Amino acid sequence: MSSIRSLPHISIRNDTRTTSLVERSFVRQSALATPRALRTDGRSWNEGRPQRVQLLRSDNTAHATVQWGAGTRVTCSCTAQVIPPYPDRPQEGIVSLSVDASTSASTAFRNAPPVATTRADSTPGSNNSMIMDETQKAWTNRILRALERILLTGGALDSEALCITPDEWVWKLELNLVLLDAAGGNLMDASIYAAMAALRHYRKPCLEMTGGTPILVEAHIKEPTPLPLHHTPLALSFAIIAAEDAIKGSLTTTSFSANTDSPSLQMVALLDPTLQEELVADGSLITIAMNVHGEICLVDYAGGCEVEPVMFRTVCQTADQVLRLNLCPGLEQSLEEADVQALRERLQRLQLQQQREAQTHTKSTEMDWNTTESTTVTTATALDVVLDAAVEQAQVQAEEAYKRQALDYNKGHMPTAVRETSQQQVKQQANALLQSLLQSVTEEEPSAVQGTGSNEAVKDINAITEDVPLVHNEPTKVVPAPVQQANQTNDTEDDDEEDEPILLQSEFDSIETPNKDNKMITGRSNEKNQEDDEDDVDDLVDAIRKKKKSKKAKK
Amino acid sequence: MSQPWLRNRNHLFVLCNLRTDGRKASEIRRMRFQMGVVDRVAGSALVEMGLTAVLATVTGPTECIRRTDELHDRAVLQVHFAAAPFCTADRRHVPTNDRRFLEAARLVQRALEASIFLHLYPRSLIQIHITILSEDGGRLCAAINAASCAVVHAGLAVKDIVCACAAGGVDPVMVDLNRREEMDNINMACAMLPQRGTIVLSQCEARLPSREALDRVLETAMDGCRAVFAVMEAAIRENATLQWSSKRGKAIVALSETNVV
Repeated sequence: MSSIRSLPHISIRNDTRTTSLVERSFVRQSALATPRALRTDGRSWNEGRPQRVQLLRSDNTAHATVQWGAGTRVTCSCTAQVIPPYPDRPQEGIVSLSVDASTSASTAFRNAPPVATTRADSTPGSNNSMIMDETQKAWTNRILRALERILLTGGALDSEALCITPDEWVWKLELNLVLLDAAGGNLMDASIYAAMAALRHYRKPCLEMTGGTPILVEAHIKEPTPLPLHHTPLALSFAIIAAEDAIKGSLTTTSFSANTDSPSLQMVALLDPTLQEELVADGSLITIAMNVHGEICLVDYAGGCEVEPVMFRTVCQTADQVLRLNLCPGLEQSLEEADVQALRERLQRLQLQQQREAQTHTKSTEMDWNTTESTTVTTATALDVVLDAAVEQAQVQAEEAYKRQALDYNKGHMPTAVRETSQQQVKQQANALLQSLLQSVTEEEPSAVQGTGSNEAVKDINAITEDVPLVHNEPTKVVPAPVQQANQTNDTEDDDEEDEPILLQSEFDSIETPNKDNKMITGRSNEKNQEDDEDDVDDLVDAIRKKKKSKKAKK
Repeated sequence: MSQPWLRNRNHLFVLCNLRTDGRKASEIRRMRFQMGVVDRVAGSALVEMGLTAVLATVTGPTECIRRTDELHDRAVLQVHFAAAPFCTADRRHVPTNDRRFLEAARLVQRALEASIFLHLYPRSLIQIHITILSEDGGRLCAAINAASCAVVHAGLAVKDIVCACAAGGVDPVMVDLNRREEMDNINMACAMLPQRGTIVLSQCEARLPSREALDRVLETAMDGCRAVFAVMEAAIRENATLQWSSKRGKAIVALSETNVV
């Protein structure tokens, strides 16, 4: 008998993954309800949950984050490198998979190294140091093995096609799965979906052999190529819930049944089980992976409950239908959209490069304080370049607007707003959104003069931004409003003569006193510095009111 | 080989529609079940399917090693899977937490959980240790057969004896693949309760061209399981007779080689 210490740590019962007896009997009995199976989320037995996948691609990586239903999230990243092959397989590339159950996924997961298909033997100390829950290890291992079998043993990914030069250089593909959220159950399907999405979305960089050593060519020089995937298998899992049967004996070994009423075997297979259903199911899930052509790539039923062959066939048939009709087309669609997006970004990137080259000629003529911060894109990846491009564009626009506002001498001697930081910009934009919503609700009187959407938003910004000014603004808003409206109609004839009233009144619908502060703003009203205004509100309000009442031109 | 006429012996087999080891497509390998091979454990069995030999021992039901692990209404079944370094042609030490072994252990555990009446042994632990002594294809199936035999030898209450067999190949569909056949073909391992006719385990990873192919392979695997059961049942009965007669003090019946197919 081996010593106790040599046995792996077992901790099979984990309180967060067990269900109460009441819950268990409720879920099981409703699943076995006779006309149709009742599930806690209202689906029928052969109905799956919607999925959403988010695909990102960078120079030598691809990420896919799958949200499966409401509670399950898995992310997968795919990258590759060129290394010499293993000596016993000189003509095959290397595929290394790893599944990491992040501790954020479930309180049942403990911090443990990811389960991986590494060749390197573990160091002698590492076996004892890491304590992984048996259940967790079994779960992650199951996902890892299923993936491995689908990809490698099943032949979806041809490892011989990953060979560059036999005996010298091969591709090593690394697929890293992280289980982010396990609250929705059915991690298996989500993981396989994420892995296949990442594999399909990934583009292998081109190689340049310089003196026998391959060098990866960057994406903007040479277009990378997709992986040699023969087909895309996706998986569906079923949870088996079986009723106890008196005549044939108990189907499950965990409960006795004295029920002699039901004469026949009753078993139900629930497609795409939630966490609850998974926990109360007898046995493990039946996982079936198929591709679009109807080929079955993986059948994995680990047992635990007897399944009649008829049920097995029904399960396969359902999986076939659901996969082909819903799952595979959904994935294809997401991949296409992501491809289109990537193409667009690539064009933008190229355009930006040209623009930047053109700009370097014209930049020397502008004033120093107008130039933006130098955007040096040295060895950025494609994603960074795109982000830089977007930021640059925004900055360029901001500069132009500020210039226009600052150098517009028609406005008189009003001090220009201090250029605001991006944080404030974001805040203002958020506020703008909020207030445009409120605006649409509270806006009543239509104005003679049309106002632009952004200006309305700014009006609301002033109305709502801070608490103190808010309280202060409200009475002032109400009181001068009718006065201003009268003024507005009167002043429309004056519009041609006076610049400021024009600007102010032409761009705001019903003018409220806080809006007087906006006279400093022209086109891009988002750039106004709110804090300055709030400080000046009192003075300006009084000044303006006086001015308005005297109907004098403001400067 | 130097003699060219001996180089491709497969020619003869192919002509007669036989497989590389001379079997027909629907024949299982020569099987041998030995029970009670290990001393001091509750149950043990040594199973040979062709050249694949697996030893399984059952310890239990005993108290759980840690009280927190026990379940109040049923026993905990724990399976430990290992392979001897000499099991394959190249001697290699495989660590015990290899992911393939973890998976295999889990599969054996779930398959047997479907058959053992665990609720008859609450708050206890049943341990099954499986060791692969020699590997020539079908190691999961042999492991399940061995575990099942050992469980019966240990006297645990079971619904039915779990039998496992693999099937594969598209055309013709073959039963009980050996190592060479496993490498190229579809290979579906399947375990069932033969007297009740229900499947308790089913694993396949190669590309099956259609659902009908799946049905065919599954049917063939189930037939293989029933054939395995025939042999296993004979061996179990013989062993039971032996034990019973030795307990009663009667003369030991000579062991004939009835359990070899």
